[in-house]
Amino acid sequence: MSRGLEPTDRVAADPSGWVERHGDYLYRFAAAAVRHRQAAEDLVQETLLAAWRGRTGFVGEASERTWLTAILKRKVVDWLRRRVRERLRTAAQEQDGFVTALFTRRGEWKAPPGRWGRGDPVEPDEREEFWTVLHDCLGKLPPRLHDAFVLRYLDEAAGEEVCRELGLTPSNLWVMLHRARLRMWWCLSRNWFGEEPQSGETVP
Amino acid sequence: MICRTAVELICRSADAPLSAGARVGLGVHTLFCSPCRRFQRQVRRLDAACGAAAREAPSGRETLSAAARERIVAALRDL
Repeated sequence: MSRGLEPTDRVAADPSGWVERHGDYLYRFAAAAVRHRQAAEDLVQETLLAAWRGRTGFVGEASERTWLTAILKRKVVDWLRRRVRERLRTAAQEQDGFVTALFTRRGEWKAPPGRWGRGDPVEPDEREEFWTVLHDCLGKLPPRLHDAFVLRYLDEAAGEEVCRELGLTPSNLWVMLHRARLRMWWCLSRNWFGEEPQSGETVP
Repeated sequence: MICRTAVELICRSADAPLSAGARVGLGVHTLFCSPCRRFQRQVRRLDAACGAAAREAPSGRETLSAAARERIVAALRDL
């Protein structure tokens, strides 16, 4: 998956070359997750400093970029955990207008899910376009939902373990993930997979 | 089971295993409810796509600011 450039068996002698080769990539990775320019830049800096100090740990099985991205990912996860812990301390709102609008009062679909006529993207151009759409959809998530959802996919520790670490009740986290996932499903249904739910009902 | 509950369980099952009771309840519901069955398939694809997206930076034109670049290069030199 990685677009690492050179599978290398040695670390570049000059760490400032990393900034040239990987700085923008690492920045985009961090910025997409934390959605905060300054924080993303700081995370890239911490990553490169930590990588340089720990360069003997680089065994050359991965590309330089894959290795750096793995270090950055751990830092992003820590950063997101802190923010999710702060943000989710206050309980979720009782109702989420987006979710309630999908169902009738009796709990049936107002508009059943439409067919996803389009297959998963295969061609490079199409994949590129798909990732753009997906990241746009992520970008539209409200902040609390975004953080929880992104953390869910970055963090290897899934589910209840995450809750323990964050000091949350599982239900609070489930609620956030559920709301985020429904928005992502809706957004990708509309903007990529092709068909909106089957009737003309509108959802806010 | 109503669809709203089934949808909650489908979403949750993307993050953690369901209890045996919930799994059976959901199985019975989706056996008879094609919209929820379709939703379940779509959530699986969504889940796979999000997992893959998390492993890579988005493409785009965003770059480190010149100031940040300088700061980082300077910090690396100081090591």
